[in-house]
Amino acid sequence: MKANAEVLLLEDDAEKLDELRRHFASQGFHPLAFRSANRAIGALRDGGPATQPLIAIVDWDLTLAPDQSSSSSDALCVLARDASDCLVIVYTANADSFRVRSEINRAHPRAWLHDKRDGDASLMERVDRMLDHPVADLRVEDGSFVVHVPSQDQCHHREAVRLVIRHPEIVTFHSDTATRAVRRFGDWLARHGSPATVVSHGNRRYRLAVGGTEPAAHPGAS
Amino acid sequence: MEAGNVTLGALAPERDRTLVVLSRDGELAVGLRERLERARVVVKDARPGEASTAVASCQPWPWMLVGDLAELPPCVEPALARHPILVLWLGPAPHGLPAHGRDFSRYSELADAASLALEAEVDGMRLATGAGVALPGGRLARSASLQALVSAHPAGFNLPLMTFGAAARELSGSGVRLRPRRDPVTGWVSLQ
Repeated sequence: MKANAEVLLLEDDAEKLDELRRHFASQGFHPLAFRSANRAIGALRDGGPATQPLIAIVDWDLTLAPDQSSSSSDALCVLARDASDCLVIVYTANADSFRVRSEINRAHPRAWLHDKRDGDASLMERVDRMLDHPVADLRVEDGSFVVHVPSQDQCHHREAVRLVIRHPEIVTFHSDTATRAVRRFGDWLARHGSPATVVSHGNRRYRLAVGGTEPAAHPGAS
Repeated sequence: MEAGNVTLGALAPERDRTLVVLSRDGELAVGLRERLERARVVVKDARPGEASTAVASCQPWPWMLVGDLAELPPCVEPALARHPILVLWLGPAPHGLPAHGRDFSRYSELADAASLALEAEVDGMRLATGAGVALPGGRLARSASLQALVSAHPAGFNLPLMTFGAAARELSGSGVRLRPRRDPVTGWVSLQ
C-alpha cells in the first residue's frame, strides 16, 4: 500500500505556509501545516497523522503566530523527545547568531539549520536535495517509497524511506510495527542484492549501512 | 530546564554516542556541533544547573564531557568516577576533574582533540557511525567501555579493570590482539 509520508510545517506567515504546503503536496507528501507552535505540539501529541512525521520544517521566528502560548523552541523540544526519528530543519534569519544556534541546539540537538536570508526557494531546494540523494543503489521517490534503481522495484513503507533519507544516521523507531517494517526492508534489500544493509543497534535503533564501508549487525543484535 | 511542560531536547534520553558540553553561554557547544560530524556524535549543550540531568540522559553514559567552567558541578563527579568518560576542558582544569581529563588553553586544540577521539582507529577498530565500535571483519561491538578505550588510546582511564568487562568480552574472539589491561606503573586501564 502506498502511503504519503507526512511533513509537518510550522510557519507563522500564512502566505509562506501555503507555499510550503503546495510544494510538499506536489512532491507527494501529506503536508500538516500549522501557524502556531501550540497547534503543532497538540497535533504531535494527539496520536493522529502528525504523531510521527517523516520531516518537520520549522520557522524559528513565530512572531506572527495567532497563538503565542508556545514557542518554536517548545515545538522542537517535543519533536526531539517524541518524534526523534523525524528529520528536522529549522530556518531563521538569525542563523549567524551563536545565541540562536545554541537555543536551537538545546531544543533539538539533531536539527539542521537553514539560513532564511538565502530565500524561500533555497529551503525547498535543500529539502529536495536531502530527499533526492541516492544511497548505494536506492533512491526515494515522491517522499513515499524507496526504489531499487537497477530493478526499479519499489518498497512502499515510510520506515524504509526514513532510513534512506536519514542515512547514515541511526534512527530510533517507536513501535513494533515500525521495527518489523524495518526488518522486512532489510530482507527486501538482501533479496535485491543491494550493497545497502539494515544494521541494528538494539533498542529499536537501526541505520542503513553501505557494504564494505560500514559494519554489519552483530548476529545477536536485537 | 523546562518551558511549560516541555523538556529541553538536549536533556532528553539519548542512546547514541553523546558529547555533553557544560558552559554558561553555549558558545563552546555551538563550535563543537559545527566541527564534529553529526552522524557520529550528538552534542548536548547544557548549563551548569542542568549538568546532572544532561549526564544522566546519556545512556549508558556520555562518550565525552567537555566544559569551560571554573568549577566542576559536584553532581557530575560520581559519574566520572564510575564510568570511562573522556573529559576535555577549556581553561584550567577544575578541582574534581579525573586524572585522565585533559585541559586546553585554546578552543582549536580542544576541538582537534575531540575530533581525533572520534576518528580514532586502533588495531583495525574504529568508532562506528552513531554508537559502538566497528571491529575488523565488520562486526559491530556495542560496548560503551570499548568505545571509550578506542577513543582514549594509547592513554586510558584510572578506573578498576572490572569496569571494562564488556569491552574484554567484545574483544574475545574478535581477532583483535589488544585487551583492556592495567598498566603496572600508572595503574590506568588501556588497550594493550
